[in-house]
Amino acid sequence: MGVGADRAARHGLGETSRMSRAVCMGMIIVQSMWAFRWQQALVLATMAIGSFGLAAIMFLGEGALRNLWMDLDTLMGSRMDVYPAPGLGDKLLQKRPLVHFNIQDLEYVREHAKKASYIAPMFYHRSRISLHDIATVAHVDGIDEPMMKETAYTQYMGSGFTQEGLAGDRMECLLTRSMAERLHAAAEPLPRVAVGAYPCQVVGIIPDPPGADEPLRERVAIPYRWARLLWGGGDDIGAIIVSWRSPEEMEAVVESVRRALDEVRAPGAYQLTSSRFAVRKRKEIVSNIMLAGSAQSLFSILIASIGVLNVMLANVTRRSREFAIRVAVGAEPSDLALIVLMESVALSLIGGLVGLFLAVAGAPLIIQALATRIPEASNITPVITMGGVVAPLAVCVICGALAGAIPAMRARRLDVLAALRAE
Amino acid sequence: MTGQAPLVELVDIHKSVGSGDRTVEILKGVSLTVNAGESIAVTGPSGSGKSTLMHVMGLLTPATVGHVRVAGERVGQDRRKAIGMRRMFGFIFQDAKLIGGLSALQNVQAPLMHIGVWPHRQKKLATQALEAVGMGHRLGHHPSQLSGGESMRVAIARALVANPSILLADEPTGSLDSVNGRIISDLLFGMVGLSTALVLVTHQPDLALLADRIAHIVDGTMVEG
Repeated sequence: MGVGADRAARHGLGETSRMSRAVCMGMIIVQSMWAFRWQQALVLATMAIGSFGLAAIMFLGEGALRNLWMDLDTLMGSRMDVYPAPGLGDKLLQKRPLVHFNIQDLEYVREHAKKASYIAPMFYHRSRISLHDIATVAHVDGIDEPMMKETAYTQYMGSGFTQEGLAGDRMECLLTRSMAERLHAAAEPLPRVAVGAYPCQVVGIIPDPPGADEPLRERVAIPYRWARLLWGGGDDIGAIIVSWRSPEEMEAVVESVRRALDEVRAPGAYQLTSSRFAVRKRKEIVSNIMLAGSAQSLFSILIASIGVLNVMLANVTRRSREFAIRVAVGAEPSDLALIVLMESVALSLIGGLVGLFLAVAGAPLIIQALATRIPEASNITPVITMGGVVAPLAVCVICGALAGAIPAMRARRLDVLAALRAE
Repeated sequence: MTGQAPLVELVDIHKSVGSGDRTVEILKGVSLTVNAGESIAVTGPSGSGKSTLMHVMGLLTPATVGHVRVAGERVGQDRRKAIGMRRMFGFIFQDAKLIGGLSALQNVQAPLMHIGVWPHRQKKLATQALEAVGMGHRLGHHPSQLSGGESMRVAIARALVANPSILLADEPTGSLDSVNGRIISDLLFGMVGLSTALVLVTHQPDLALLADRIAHIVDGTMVEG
C-alpha cells in the first residue's frame, strides 16, 4: 500500500489509507457480485437450502425439547416412586429378603436424602369399587399428606380430604374423572361409594393421570392412614414416594435414595420409577432426530459448498479477462485472491441469511405439514435460539471460505498475458 | 535531455515463452529508452514482438534476460515493487478491454479503486476523465451499449484517470474506422505533455509518423529507433 499511497498523494488523487483501501475493496466485491449476480444466484440458492434445513431443525428441535420438559413436568411431576422388589441383590447378599418396605426403610431413606422435598409412604392396591349397581375393580392409592399438594391430586370438584379423613377417622376418597364417569358419581352432592366392603364418602374429583392408558385412568385415592389400616401389616408400607424441589436437584436426590436403599436393603432389591429415565429416553429420541436432521442439513451444506467451489472456479475462468484487466490497471494478485475469497464468503453468508429467514418464516408451516401426519407435532412451537441462528451462518461462512480458497489461489496465479490475449 | 533519468529504460531485453523444445524467443535483446514528454511509435509486422515489448515495459510480465529501469530504479524480482511501479503506466489495449458488467464510470473508477482512493474522489476524477475524452454523457452506459470508438475513449479515460507517467497504447486505432481512429489518435497525442510520455504500438505508418520517434521491430529485434 505504501507505493500506492505515495503515488496517489503525488498525483493529486487525494489521501489514501488502509481504511480507504478496505472501502474500495468492498466496493469492488459488491460491484463484481452485482455484475455476475445471475451466475452467483446458484451459489446463494444452494447455501440458502442448507442453512434453511439446519436452522429449521434447530428451531423445531429446541421447541420439541422444551415441550418435552413441559410434558414431563405435567406427566411425572417432580417425584419418583420406589417399589420393593425381590431382586437379584437380596438373593445374593441375603441381606433383607423382604418383599415389602417397612417404616425403618422409610426413616433410613428420609435420614439420608436430606435434599428431597418430601419422602412419603404410599400404598397401591386393587380393590372393588361400586356405586349402586355399577361395580369395577380399580387401583386405589393410599396417599400421605405431603402428596396432596401435587397437581395429580388437586381436585377440580369437591373439597378434598377433611382432617378427620386424613387422620383415618372418617372414610373418604377421591375419584379420577374416568372413575367418576364410570360410576356416574360426578354430580353434587358427591355420593358414597364402596371401596371393597367399606362405604366411603367421595370428597373430590381429580384429573386422570396424564398419559396413562385407559384401564389405569380409573383410580381412587384414599388417605394413607386408612390404606395402611386396610392393607398394611405391622410395620410394612407399600412404596416410598420421593419428591424434589427443582429438576437440578433430581440427580442428587435420586442418588442419595439409591445409596440409602443399597445400604438398608440391597442393590437390586427395589425399583425406582423416576422421571429421570423417561427424560433421558425422550431426550435421546429428540436429540437423535435433531442429530439426524442436522447431519442431513450439514451434508446438504457440504454439497452446496462443492457447488460454490465449482461456481467460483468457473467464475475465475470466465472472469480471467476481467482479472487480467484489473491487474493491468493496478490490482495486485492478492487483490484478486481477496475478491474471489470474499465473494465466496459473502455469497455463502447471504445464502445463509436467506435460509435463516426462510426457516424463521417457514417453521410454522413445517409444523403444519408435519401435523397432517403426526398430530402431536402441532404442539411444537419453534424456538429461535442464539445457537440456532449462529450455527447455520457459521457453517455457511466456513464452507464459503473453504470453497473459495482454491479459486482464490487460482486467481492469484493468473497468467495475465494469456488472459489478456484470450477472448 | 535535461539530465533527468529516463522514465523507462529497457536494457537488452530477452523474452521467451513456453518451455523445453517449445520455447519461443519473442524478444531478442531489445533496448529502448523512453523520456518524459516524448512519444514513441513501436512498429513492425504482426508477431514481431511489439505487444510483448509493451507488456515487459509495463511490468505486466518480467523479462527472461535483461532488465527494466523505471524512473532510474531497476525493477528486479521484487514483485511488490513491480506492482507499485506498474501504477505509473496507463494501459490502452487494441479492443479497449472494458470490464463487461461495469458501467463506463465504474470502468474508469477501477484503477482508482485498486489504489485505494476514497469513493467520492474516485467518482469526481473518473467523471472528469470521461468528460476530458468527450464521454461525459455516457457515464452509466455499459460496454455493450457503446460503439468501438466510444469504448476506446472510455479505455483512454481509464488509462489517464490515475495520472500515469507513461501511456502504453497497443494498436488503439486498429479496430476503428478512419474517423474514430483520428479522434483517438488526436486524444492520445494530445495527452502527451511535460510529465506524460506515450508509447504507441501500431502498424499504421500514418499514425507512427505523428510520434517523436519510431522504434521498428522485426522478429524480436529492434532494427530502428
